[in-house]
Amino acid sequence: MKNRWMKGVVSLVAVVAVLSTACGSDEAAVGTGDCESVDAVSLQLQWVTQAQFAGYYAAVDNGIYGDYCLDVTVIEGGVDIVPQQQLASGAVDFAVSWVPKALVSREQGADIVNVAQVFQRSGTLQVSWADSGIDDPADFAGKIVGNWGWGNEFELLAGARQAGLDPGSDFDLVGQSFDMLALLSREIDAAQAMIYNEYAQILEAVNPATGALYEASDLSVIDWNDVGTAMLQDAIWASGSRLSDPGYQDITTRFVAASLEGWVHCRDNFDDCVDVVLNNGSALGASHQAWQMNEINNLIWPSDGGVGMMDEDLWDQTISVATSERVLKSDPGSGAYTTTYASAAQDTLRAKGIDPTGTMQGSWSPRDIVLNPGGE
Amino acid sequence: MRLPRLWAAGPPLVVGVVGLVLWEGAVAGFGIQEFLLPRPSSIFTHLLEDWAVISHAGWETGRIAVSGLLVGILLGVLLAVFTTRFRVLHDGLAPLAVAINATPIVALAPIFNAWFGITGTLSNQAVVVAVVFFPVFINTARGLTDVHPAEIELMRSYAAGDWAILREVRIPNALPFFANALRLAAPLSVIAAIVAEYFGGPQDRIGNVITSNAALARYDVTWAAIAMASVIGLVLFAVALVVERVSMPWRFAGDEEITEELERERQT
Amino acid sequence: MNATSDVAVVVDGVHKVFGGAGADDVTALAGIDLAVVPGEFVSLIGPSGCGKSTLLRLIGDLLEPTAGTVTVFAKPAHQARLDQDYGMVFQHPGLFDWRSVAANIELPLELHDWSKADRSARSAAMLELVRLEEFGGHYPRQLSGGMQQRVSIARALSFEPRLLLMDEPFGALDEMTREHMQGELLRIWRETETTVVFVTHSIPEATFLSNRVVVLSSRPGRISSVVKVDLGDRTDDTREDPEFFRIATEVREALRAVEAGE
Repeated sequence: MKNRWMKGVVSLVAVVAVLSTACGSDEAAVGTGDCESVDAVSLQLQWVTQAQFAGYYAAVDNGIYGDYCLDVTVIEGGVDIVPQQQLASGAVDFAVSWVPKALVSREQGADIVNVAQVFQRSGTLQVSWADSGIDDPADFAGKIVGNWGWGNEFELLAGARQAGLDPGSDFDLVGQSFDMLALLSREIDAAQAMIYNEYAQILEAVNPATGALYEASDLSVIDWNDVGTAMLQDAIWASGSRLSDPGYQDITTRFVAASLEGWVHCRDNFDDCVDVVLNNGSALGASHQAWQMNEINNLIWPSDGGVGMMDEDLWDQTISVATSERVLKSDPGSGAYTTTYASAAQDTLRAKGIDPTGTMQGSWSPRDIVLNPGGE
Repeated sequence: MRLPRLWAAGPPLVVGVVGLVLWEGAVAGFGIQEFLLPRPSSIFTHLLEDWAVISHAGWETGRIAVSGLLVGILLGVLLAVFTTRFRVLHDGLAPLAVAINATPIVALAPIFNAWFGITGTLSNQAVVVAVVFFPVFINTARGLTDVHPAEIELMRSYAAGDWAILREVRIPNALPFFANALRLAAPLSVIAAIVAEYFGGPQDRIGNVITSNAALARYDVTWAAIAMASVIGLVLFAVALVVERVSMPWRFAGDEEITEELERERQT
Repeated sequence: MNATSDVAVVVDGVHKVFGGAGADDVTALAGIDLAVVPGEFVSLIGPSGCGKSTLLRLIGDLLEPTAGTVTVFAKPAHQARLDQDYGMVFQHPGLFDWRSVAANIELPLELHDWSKADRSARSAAMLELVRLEEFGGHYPRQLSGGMQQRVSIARALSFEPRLLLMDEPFGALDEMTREHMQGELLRIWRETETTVVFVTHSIPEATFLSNRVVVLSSRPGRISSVVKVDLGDRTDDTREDPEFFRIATEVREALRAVEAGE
């Protein structure tokens, strides 16, 4: 009789031990659903709905945020919205913003911190016709070089100075609108374009000489990543003051991991993410969004250090260009970004059997996208 | 012609200086952040620091404003004279002029960019012309036609033809109206030029210095560029005043009316 | 210079109708016959709407008669206007603000291509005539109403017309200034020997100035009566002369008859 009672107690203790392990462990609970409570969170995007932000939309629509016990509202950006200021003022919990612009706000007094560097490379290009012979910044001499102004021109200016040219006197700087019309009409020799957006607009236009769409071979492209004056772009920013609060820290941990998982989803489920973006009301056509999704993936993958992890060399390069072009008055210092949350996210993703770098066999390779006229 | 009374410039100068001092004091005293409202001393410092860029930009924008102003004035005056002769044309042209005037600059600029291209100065000059033309045309036309019928009757009693009436009566009568329009158009030309610059084109102009620096929240440089724009506008306004003063000496002749009594007293 | 004509102005059977044919038209003047002798001073007086200003303008060829003819110095009125045979003075001086006093006087001379030297000489003489020698360089707005009117007269006489047409020129002036101006006008008339046709609604003024006072009735305008004024050379005392009162009374009765007859 004593043996049976002892076995019962041991079993009971074992069951309790197992159960408490299951309920009490953090690693097992994160990202698997099973929520005691759900936190409402808002995210401010930098621009309007498009594949540039597919990861976040996919995380909402596929219940990924839900798995992390978050209820996320994604807020579209636009001309008048400055995401980092929305974040600094407390209107939103997180914001997507390019690094130089966010650092300028930070220098002005906005208390914000980079918690995940999603895009590993800059997507800015300087595009010209192949017959113009502009293959390198040194070729700008004597040409008419377009850019968007409004703070977007500094990779270009730094690249030109690096090639020994004096912008404004060795070549003309002309403000262009956010389209390719001035290049198509050959009014300017080189135009600024995002590889995932305006660049495609040329490939969606009909070449009057051939009657078919323009091809990549018609164009010459300068990539600032290759020139070495590229600056980091889309990153997730959090409120610096709130990061001293454990509750916000916990939310940030989950939000970063879930968002990055959303981006993995868009790497591995291309068509689904294109649909997600279209369903969330993107203004641009289907083939254009497909192009954009592909190019955005190219900017994220491979993430050799892990998705969302800061590439120190690129951070230093960003600061160097920003300070030499007087965008920033001084180096913001190491407090401007943290790898804590992205690092934790790597572990979470790996624990779920997800490849966070995009380097594993068959994990990621760019696609061949066919564009339709007008991007439809 | 009398010499200008220099001490008449006193009050505006005093107000200006007091205003600047108050501004400087208020920013310092209330601890207003630089990016909201910089101090005049700070603006001046940055004006000097970036003088090369801002003065060049001021020159580029200024010459667009001035050339557009001159063409707009010429067009407005010529059309006013022409339509005075042919009233039917005036009635046809007036609604068109109203429509152009009602179109905001921010709509005209991209349209003219598409028509005339973004490189060069033509597109922005066209915006200035469109903005300046209307007040000049409407005011000058009114001045040419708002004439005392008695004056026309007098000229007819001299067997004077339409051309003599235009020359001797209508044009002098129109000068005060034209001067009004000029005072409006001069600063307007600068505003139009700068707003047009927000829509693209060569970036060595005031509009671009303002937008580039505002985008990076470098408001001190922004204000310095604004100060330059104000100076250009003020200079053009002053020129308008000088033109008025020189072209209408009778307006500024002495004010005392010589009465009959005074005159009789003088003769005795 | 033309041969001396024994008639300066002949108005023969003149009718003037305004407005279109039909019920809307207004007959301003009907059957006007008037002859003015050179050197004469004739006043036109009558109630409002009697067409005296219209008649003056017909003589000046600023209006055309609907019927009848107007002859000035043996020429049609139209030709006389082209030949600048008369000068006109209106109730408002009508000086150009933008021209100096002297330049205002020179205006008709400029329009007829006089040389600068001739113009200057003439405007100086005219300023002397109207006793405003020191004010040639002033602008009209600096002068009083009476002085402006004198400039207007100087301008009208600047090219020495043989006929002066005046439409209530002193109507806007105060009484003392008015009497002063009347005296000045007579002095100028005597010195220049012009013929004057003068429209007024003031009985004493018409009586003081004229050789003849033509009384008009209205609706339609017709010459009702003509009063001869024999007062010799007028002085400031003339206004207190009993003969002046008698003639003025005659004019007044003629006017009353006109008004009663309506």
